[in-house]
Amino acid sequence: MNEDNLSSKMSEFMTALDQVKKYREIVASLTDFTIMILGTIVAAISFNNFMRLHSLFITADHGQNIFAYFLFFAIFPAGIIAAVWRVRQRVKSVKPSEWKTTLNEGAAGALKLIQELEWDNIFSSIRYAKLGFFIYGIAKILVYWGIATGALYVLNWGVQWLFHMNMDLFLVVALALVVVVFLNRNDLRKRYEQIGRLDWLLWELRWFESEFRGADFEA
Amino acid sequence: MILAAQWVFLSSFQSTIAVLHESGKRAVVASKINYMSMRATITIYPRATPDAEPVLVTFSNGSQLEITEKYSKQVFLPKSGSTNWDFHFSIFLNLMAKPEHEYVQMTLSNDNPIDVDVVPDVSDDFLSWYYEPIHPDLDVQDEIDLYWLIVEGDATVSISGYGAPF
Repeated sequence: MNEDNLSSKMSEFMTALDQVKKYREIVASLTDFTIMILGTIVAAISFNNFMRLHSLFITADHGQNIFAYFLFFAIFPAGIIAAVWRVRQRVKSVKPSEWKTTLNEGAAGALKLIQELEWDNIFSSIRYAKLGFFIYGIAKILVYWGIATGALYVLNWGVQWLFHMNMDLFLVVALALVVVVFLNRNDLRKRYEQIGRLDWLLWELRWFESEFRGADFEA
Repeated sequence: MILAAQWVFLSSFQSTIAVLHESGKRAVVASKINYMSMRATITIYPRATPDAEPVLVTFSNGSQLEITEKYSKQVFLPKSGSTNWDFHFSIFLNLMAKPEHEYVQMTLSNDNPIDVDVVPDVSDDFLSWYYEPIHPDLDVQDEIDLYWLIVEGDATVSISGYGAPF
């Protein structure tokens, strides 16, 4: 293996590792994401309970009720946006290409990078990232499903109010899932392919590891 | 745990609605078992035609009101008895057998502790008939609270009720 070949392979490898670090950060931020979504649900139900008590014991003013409904439905998007923003911020905090300066030193830099690698941790990170990527995909679909169900429920309520036509709640939930899966079909396909690529990366790295361990380098 | 507690609290609220599009003499009734607090909204829409007669509303205290436009009234029936834990159990443990209704007309029970009704073609003594318990030994006055008014004339009458055991 010559110096150019080594630098090029190392660059590819480190780029893939940066990607894995991002996926790993997605998994790590799932705790924050879950806490924020649960907090949103708790806040929305608390607000709903407060408004129910208010309308029972204080007054059931129609204008106030509409405003309360608006606020109730605004809590969910606000919480979801905040949770997604938090995940994105954490993923953005992963600084890619920090290794480029070392790699610019040539074969010596590449060897230095290789020596600093902890292979067991890398393999574990990829498996972890793969799982997280899958869980994040499911969580994203579930959240979108919740939003779509809420939106369709409000639409159904409006249609019922205007035209006295009512859609069954089960149908609303099922239709919301169909809409979400249809709108996210490209994302789902991309996610499926990405998981396949991570599998491929894992196998490639095993080869990479064995090749570098046994390689003679020409300066 | 917080979510479970909130769900328990949320499940305690009950609501009900009744609408009648008929002319004649109707009683509009909101009733509840005494451990509930209840707010009922009664709305009367007189028929909107130029030659329509005014609709006469007679309240339980004997006062009367003639209306020609939409009329709405809210009433609050406060809690007047102690909490009945059977109600909570009947909500969360649906395994319990449904109790039989204790009244001839009203559908009040621990499963259904608030009720609203628009009773068509009533006579002046409708209350004694409406209040009548299935079992004569029941002391209904202690067990339930009731608000009513009579509507006479061509109008659509609706009543919605909303309550909780607090």
